[in-house]
Amino acid sequence: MLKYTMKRLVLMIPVLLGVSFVVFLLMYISPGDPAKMILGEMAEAKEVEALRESLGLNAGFWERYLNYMKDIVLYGDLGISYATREPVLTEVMERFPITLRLASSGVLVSLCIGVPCGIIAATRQYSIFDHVATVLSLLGNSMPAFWMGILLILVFSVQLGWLPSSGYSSFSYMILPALTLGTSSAAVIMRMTRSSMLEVIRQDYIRTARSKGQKESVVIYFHALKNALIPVITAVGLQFGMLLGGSILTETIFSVPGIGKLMVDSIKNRNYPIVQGGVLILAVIFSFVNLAVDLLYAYVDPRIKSQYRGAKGTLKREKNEEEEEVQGCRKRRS
Amino acid sequence: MKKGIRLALAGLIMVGALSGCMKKENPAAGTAGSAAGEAAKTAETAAPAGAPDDLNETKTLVITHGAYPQTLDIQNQSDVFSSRPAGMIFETLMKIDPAGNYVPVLAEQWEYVDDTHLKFHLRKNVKFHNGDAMTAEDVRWSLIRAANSSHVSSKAAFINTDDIVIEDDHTLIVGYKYPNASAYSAYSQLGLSILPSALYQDADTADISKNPIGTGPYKYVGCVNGESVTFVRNDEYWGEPAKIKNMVWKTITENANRTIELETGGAHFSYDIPTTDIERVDSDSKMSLLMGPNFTIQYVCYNTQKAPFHDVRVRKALGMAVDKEAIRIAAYNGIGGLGVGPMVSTTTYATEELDVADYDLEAAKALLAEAGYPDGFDIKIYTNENQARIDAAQVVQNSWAKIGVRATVTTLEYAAYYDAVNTGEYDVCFFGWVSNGDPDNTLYGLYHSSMIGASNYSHTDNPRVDELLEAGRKELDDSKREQIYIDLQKELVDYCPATYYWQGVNVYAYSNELMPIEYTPYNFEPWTYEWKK
Repeated sequence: MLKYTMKRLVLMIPVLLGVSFVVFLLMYISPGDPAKMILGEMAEAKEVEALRESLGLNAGFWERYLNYMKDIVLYGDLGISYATREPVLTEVMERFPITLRLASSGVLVSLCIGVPCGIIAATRQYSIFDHVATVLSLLGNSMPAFWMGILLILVFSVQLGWLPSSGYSSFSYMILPALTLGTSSAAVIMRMTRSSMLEVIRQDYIRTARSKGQKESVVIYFHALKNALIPVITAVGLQFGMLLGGSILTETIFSVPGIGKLMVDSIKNRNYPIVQGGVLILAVIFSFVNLAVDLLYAYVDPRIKSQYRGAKGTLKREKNEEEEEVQGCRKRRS
Repeated sequence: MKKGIRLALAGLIMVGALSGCMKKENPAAGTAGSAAGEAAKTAETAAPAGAPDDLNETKTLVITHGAYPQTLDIQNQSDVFSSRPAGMIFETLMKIDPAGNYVPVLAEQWEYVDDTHLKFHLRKNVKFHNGDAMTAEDVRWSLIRAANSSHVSSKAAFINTDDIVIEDDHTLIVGYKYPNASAYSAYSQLGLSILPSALYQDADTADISKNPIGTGPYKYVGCVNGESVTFVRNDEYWGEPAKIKNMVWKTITENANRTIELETGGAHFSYDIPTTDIERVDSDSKMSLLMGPNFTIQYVCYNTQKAPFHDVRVRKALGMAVDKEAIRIAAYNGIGGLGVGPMVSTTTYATEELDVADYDLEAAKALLAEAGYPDGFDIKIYTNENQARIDAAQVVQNSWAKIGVRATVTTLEYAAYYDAVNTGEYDVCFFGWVSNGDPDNTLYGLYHSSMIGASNYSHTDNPRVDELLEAGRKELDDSKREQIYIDLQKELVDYCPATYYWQGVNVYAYSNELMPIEYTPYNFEPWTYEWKK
């Protein structure tokens, strides 16, 4: 397990190098001059040029990229924001808890909706519940976040006046953004729970449990659900990672000052260091979330854990199985 | 197995809960900041002793606008989203009142010693928020800092930083590089605000932004980065203190959401209400509309350095084929005024006695034929993502098709658009210009040849225009200056670097819980607002 974890950590290095290169290149080739964006329309050419020089924007691509990577590798320095002159790491990490809180709330919403609906849809396959759940999941998955967000604002803020429409300060401010984020993830989790549950409840041990006369609720919630949820954990983990980096629209609609909104504003203003650093930090977080999901998967499913033992373990296991088979044949012959 | 699932769920819940606890505020000036909603809530529940019923003391004023300030360092900003909230903290030597007159703020009075020297007599009872008294040295230091700031130096470029003489603690003489008739306008701009020199001597812009100390009616309390900035009344203010004690500036990017926030009581004053919401606000008894002309002009800008637009006849023909009324209706819901000349009609020295041709497709066609384009030509129109400009571009595209000019509209994201316009790769672009009502501020940046590559988007390089712009900037005699700008407007209409189609309006709204607010095209002053009893 430790070896597997180490291997995954080492594999992250080329991934992060690739991410840093692609983002740097994209910002480099995108039109727009950060110096002009900072100084505004009235700035004269010589002022713009002086600022470009002081920001190091006149150097070539490779020089800038290598300097950037050198600062990251040697000093852990992601640069300074063009707009605020604050370190990128400070700026991004100041916003990260907000995005983390939003993504966590979104995942909780999706779990609360997705898992029960998936179970009902599977246990009552082709019933009206299944059809309604299928239609709802299709709607949830296809409804764009901006539309869903505006709809929720109109209903819960404007019509009913129950919840605030934008901002970030207390629990009530997070409800509508979390619902917006959670709805589309709920659809994915519901479909996953349904299909996984359908597969499990058709297996022999479930039939055995039923034939022993156990209550249906015990069969479903104690015998079937725990195995059916194994692939759902992976889906939830991936959704969580995606919500961390993909809540840009939701943050913009509800004016939640998370990383997504910071990135959008920084792209508009050509604040290169924030965009590059922000994407890199998100990539690191996403990689760690993926690794955590894989390790968690192994923890809850011993079959997976055995596969993580590596090639040596696998060969040993195969050899044992072969020996058992040979011995079985010998016994049958005798 | 069961344990594993429990662990996973518990972990998720803990992450959520922890991240909730990790909510970070950005305290400064020794006091913790708080977000808009919480600030409002706290203030509403915690009335100070002695004034339990006074809403001004207990209820927080929430103001919304479209972007979070990039900085609160007033001398290092060039956008209204930074200058509006920073304008609560910092003050200038003088300001423009709603009638357009220059009135004293930190300077009690001023007089010209000669054409290039202005003597300021400063107020004696002014203190910065940190308790230091404001002196002539602070003014000297601030003007020099402004002149060296890459963001506002163009406004202070006329100041000779080696020739600022302090006579005593409250008197100083500022020397100019040349006579400048627009100096008062410059001194009124927030970029030339006065900062405490002793405190900021060695501070960089990030330090000032985190701990902004000025002389203004509100003191900075703190911020929630990306969301809101919180202020509290400056009780030591030299003038009449602000009526409302607590104030929050909240960022709401989505235009429609600002109206909703006002409607639902989450905000009390909102900038830049979308024109599509005017009727809604107007018909709501909880809100009032604040609408009036500003100093914005929207125009079709021709690349005067590029064929066929280097021919003035082509530019005039295209101008004649712009249906301004159709644009006003399609892009601005019928509000605002029709553009005539390069200056908005409320700007000082604006004249409407200009020889601007009416909308006439036949005359436009004939003029194009005379210029050698009887069958028209193909062109590219550039615009940014501003929806009103896109709508205007489509109306113009349609009109020009009728005179044989086949245009395609290219919409670019702002930074890319700005780049394309500055490098001169465009044929025609749509732009807007916001001035402060001063003719030099309105015209110099747009048409002086030295501003090509900056804000001279039409790439106008006309010696006569340059000469008049320079003369207007230096002429101190009011009647002579007026004549210069009238001549300049005529010259620009004749040269036709642009077709001006719309004179802007500001659309703001406020809650009826506040006492009535008067419209002004200049900066609003929230320190004068008060709650209804």
